[in-house]
Amino acid sequence: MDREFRLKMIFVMLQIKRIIFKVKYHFYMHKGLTRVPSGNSVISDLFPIPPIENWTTYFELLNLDELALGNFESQKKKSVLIYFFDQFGKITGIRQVFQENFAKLQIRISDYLERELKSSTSFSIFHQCDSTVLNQRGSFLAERGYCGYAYKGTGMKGYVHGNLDAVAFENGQIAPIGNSGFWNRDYIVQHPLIGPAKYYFILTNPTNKTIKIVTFIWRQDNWTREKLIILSPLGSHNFVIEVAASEKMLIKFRSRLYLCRPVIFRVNESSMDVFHG
Amino acid sequence: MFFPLMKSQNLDGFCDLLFLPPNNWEKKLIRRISIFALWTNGQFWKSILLGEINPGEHMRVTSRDMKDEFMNTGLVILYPTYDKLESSLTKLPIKRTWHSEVSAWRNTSGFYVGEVQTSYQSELNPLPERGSLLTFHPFIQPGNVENRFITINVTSNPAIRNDNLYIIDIKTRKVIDVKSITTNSTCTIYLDNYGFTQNDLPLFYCPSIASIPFGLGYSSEENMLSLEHTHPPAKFFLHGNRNELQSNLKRKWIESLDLK
Repeated sequence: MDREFRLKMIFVMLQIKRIIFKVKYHFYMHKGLTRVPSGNSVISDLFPIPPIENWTTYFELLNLDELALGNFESQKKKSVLIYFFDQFGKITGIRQVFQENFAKLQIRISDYLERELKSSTSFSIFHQCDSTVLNQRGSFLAERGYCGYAYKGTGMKGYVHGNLDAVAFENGQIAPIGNSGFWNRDYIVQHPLIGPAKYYFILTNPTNKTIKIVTFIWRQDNWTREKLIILSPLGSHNFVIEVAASEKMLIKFRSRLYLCRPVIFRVNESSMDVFHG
Repeated sequence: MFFPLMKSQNLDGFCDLLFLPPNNWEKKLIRRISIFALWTNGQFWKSILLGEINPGEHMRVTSRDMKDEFMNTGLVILYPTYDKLESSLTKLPIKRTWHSEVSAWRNTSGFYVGEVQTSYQSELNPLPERGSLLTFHPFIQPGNVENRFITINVTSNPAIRNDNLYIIDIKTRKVIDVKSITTNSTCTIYLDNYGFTQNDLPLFYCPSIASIPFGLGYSSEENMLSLEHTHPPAKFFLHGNRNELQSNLKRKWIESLDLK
């Protein structure tokens, strides 16, 4: 009897926990991370471009049409459109790249950053292929691929995959698809900032709303408010935090973004590391 | 939720465990927690208590902190829990204490040499015992970089089992080489003998061991490391039934391969 009662209580507690989680989830996340785009859209992340003085940015372009849709025999010349954005989310320019028959093509993004593209701080990649079959089944082809970053002329790259599904493209029109909520929430980077190192953070806004982000730093057992960042739709912002030797910090971002996840570059005297937060 | 501590030939691994959830609305843990290390000897999951940490605290664990026998398979998994663990387990514990949905509760795992380190935000759930791996590998770096393909696999069952890993030329669909990978391990395949260039995209296929695939680059000349995992094919899609699409994609590819 005792055992039966205890099992029943455990079951009831689990149900209560589940209900509490569902209520909280509805409160904070009821729209889901990303909106469903229209019709025959293709989707891309908003990939960050760190300052060109110190960084060379690459993109490993995969032939998603062939790989994901299994169109092995297709002889059509494939292309992608690269949309470049400035820090305010304004389009600085569009470039078309042909994939020929390569399964993969490495693009040196930094080579494009001249003239009107000089102020670009992020880019998106839209595959120009027929994805009707996918779209009819409620899915969309998504480019969330791999950026390579080389620091100060080194040949070797640090890689990071896409961070947030951000932009949909259809018939020459683009639309942000990230969601934000009514309530502020914290995104805590689960990486201790350990010195000596410089940390570069790049935040992007995948929504169609202007977003305020407050950064907090944990030093000596306290969260202290650091700065307010205002991001336009599809805008981006980068900032640096220096952590001295023997110092340790944490960082969090408070905003209405469902997922305020930065791309992080850690640089010290001898090396660099890149990853998403 | 588990977190990997890896080791690859000549490269030590680390895991920075941080006792903080990724958001402030899902889960609040206020009690000190125990950190266990688990490794397999092929028959049992063995466990040892590494220490305890408080909310907000950080603990760095490296493969050098582990006895050689713990790292025999190249993989120790770290497990935060409020429970006491037996020293031998027939399967992995299922309670997930550090767990969240948006986003997943992660920590920092990677490799290091001296002051140089590379990492990714890691979390590890046991994989199905009979899964497959099919991945396209985009991380070939030219020049003086040593390119490695790494797999990690964890199943609830502590058995260590081998299977073939086929390295395939994506254009001809023919096998370039066959290597062996094992369950509950970190496996390292060196890629520089195959003459891949930076525009090549080798395909890796293992019929019966699902794994998380990584590209690991190491340049002793430039004193740099690089690590990133590739996406499972389901991540080529957003919304809809992605698992079904992934199954179809894998089936199409596997049927087209010439595995002789």
